[in-house]
Amino acid sequence: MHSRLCTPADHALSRRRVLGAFAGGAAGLGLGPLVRPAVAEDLKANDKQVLLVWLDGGMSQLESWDPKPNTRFGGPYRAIDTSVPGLRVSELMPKVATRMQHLSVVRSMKTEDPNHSSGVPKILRGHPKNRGVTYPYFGSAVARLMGPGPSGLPPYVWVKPGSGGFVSKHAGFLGAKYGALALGDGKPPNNLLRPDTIDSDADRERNELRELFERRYRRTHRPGWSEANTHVYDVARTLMKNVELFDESKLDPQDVERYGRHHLGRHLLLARRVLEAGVRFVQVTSYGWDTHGDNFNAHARRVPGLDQPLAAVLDDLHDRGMLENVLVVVMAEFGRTPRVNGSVGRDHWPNAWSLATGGCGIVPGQVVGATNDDGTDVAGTPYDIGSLFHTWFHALGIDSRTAEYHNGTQPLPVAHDDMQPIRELLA
Amino acid sequence: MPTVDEAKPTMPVEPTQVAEVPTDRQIMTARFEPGGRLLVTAGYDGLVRRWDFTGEEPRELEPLAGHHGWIERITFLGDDRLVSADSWGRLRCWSFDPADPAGEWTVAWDHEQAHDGWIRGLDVTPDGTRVVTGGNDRAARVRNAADGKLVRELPNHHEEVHAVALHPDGENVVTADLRGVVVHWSVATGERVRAKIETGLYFEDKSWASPGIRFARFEDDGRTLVVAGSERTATNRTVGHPAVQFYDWATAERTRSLRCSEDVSQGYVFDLAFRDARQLVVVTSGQPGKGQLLVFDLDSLDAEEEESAKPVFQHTKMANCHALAPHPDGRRFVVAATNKRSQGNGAVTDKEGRYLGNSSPLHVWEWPQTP
Repeated sequence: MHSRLCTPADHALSRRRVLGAFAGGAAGLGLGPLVRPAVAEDLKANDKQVLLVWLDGGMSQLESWDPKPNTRFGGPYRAIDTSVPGLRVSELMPKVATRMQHLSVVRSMKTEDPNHSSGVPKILRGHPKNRGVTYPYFGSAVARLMGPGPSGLPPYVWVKPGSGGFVSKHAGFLGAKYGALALGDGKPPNNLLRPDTIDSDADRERNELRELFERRYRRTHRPGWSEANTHVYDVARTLMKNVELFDESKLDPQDVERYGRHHLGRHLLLARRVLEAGVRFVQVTSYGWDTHGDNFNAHARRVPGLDQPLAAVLDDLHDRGMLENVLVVVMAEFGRTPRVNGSVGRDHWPNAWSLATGGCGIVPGQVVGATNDDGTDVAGTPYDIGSLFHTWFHALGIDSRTAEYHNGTQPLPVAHDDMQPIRELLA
Repeated sequence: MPTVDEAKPTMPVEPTQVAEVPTDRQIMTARFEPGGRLLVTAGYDGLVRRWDFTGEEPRELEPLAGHHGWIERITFLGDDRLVSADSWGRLRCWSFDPADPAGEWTVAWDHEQAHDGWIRGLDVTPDGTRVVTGGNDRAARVRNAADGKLVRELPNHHEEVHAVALHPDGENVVTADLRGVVVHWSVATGERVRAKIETGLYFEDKSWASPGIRFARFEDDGRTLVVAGSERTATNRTVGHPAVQFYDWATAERTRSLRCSEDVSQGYVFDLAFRDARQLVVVTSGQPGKGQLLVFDLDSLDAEEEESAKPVFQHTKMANCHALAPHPDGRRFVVAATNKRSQGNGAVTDKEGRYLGNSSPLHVWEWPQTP
């Protein structure tokens, strides 16, 4: 059996997703969806990349980026100074505190949705205006707008605990091809390497046969339906050439210690390596931040578990000169309530939360916005996620005011058309 | 387990709630002054709050400031001092006139950085000569109670220390950590004395560990070590069976293991007290709204029943009970619970649009008169 990226069930799912995505007479999967192809060519040429650290469930802003020590809802922890004068973070982040010259914090996030199931996709899609289509997640959008880059590696890699596979649903109306290649627990797709029992000639013959079937299929079906399926084989072939990325025996033991041996440590180390290899967009997900109960014990373990590898990856990107071109985003679907419930937990809080971002021209060391004294509301101008998408696209060289997707005959803005970039974050 | 006077009749077990005193903040701990005239509480506001219990209605006195963050532990030292420990590492000893506990309190000694960060465990010897603390800095420290000077440093625990207990002899300490590991230390040498006790009171998945022990305490003149908390079943949510374990101090063998509820949403035993050698009173807090006051008759529990012990009294109307304070008169006790509907996503506001916090009403209970 030749190498494959997904199980047969995954393929079936992908085909269905493709069918769904193109059911409304959508365009093909070429360069068409951009209104201005010349812009797309420009974008393809740039070498900017993205590292998104997604803290699924919602990290508490009060135990991280926006501490309110000694206030009613401030919790038990202290705030500490950082490398940026006047900027203080929770004592649970001592390592990142000394690297804040690389990051900026937005403390005035005010979003709409307090639920995980609907809030996660809204944030990851930049919550644009509803136009009757399903917008792509950030990773799929960047994959579409900027392409895979010269490495040929899949443009959108998602490192996560649990299972992996090709996750087409992230792509929304762009089509399954722009979905995420999920590396479950940082492992390569199953059966990535060709078994020893199949020599190269046999492998080539098998692929020729597969391509023959694909061509026949393509003659009687819409191109997009088969293209995503072909894409995963192409991705698999590319990954086979880069299989050393997953060889943990080649890791520098000092790197392993610096990043930590826990999920997030191992996964952020892998993220650095795949960014070095040229992957355009890497999302690293950490689960378990939904601390309705025992919030403070949970954050006492989890925030340091973020702090260590985040500091390490900031160091490495900086030392390698990559931070100039790698956009770093650390966020979740919302923060956590100021008030502490009876279960010593904090609940969901989209009203006034924080995220951190840096690299790729984002002005470092900034604190954008503020919350009031007890953290119960934004003081001053609030920002929704749409403003951040404009900001991040701008940092990536995409003019989000003019760039558009083209969904069939329907032009669609890449970010919320009523929102603007945050100028303080852009040089 | 505590020894029992076989001839002593069993005490009536059904207490009655006689009052509910509103508060404006959340409480983590509550203890009566040995004379019984004051209840002292502390919690999320970093204040030591004193409640005059001499009148018909408890009356709050001027709170004592000086701490930061949260105060999770307080304990009385003899009849004229109180030790309080906060989440920023401050350990403070207050002194008061036992003849007038509602009068002026002064600071007897004070360590701003007794620990680097959150002090989770605090205990004193019954004779009031020594104090032990343990904290998130993975250290425990034994101090002279008279002046607060350090007697013994017990550093380098593998995990955060969540509970400590001083043996009545003042020479032996146990620490209980995040992973439910209980370690016996010699104060004289600072060395571990014997094999660790693995209580199993914690939860761990592939990446994270959640603590299960809330406190440890010696009972029965030091013959029994009691640890309590939760048999955790999932991380991040307060999900687990409230549990109490008893150990024979001479052998370190577990002699009794009490699963206080089969309902995993009941979470933790947050506080407990022995009413006499036979009756164990516990308060629990689990998922929001879940909290129980339970009374167990230890004699009536067969070994086979202990895994899921049936209480002789159970009250489920108080939400999320975090502290239990028996009055020295043996007739009353106070439970610090949580207001109803303490949870909720997004902003919860009053009619004027003000953001609402939570509080810990004090529930005053009375035991029935002994026949």
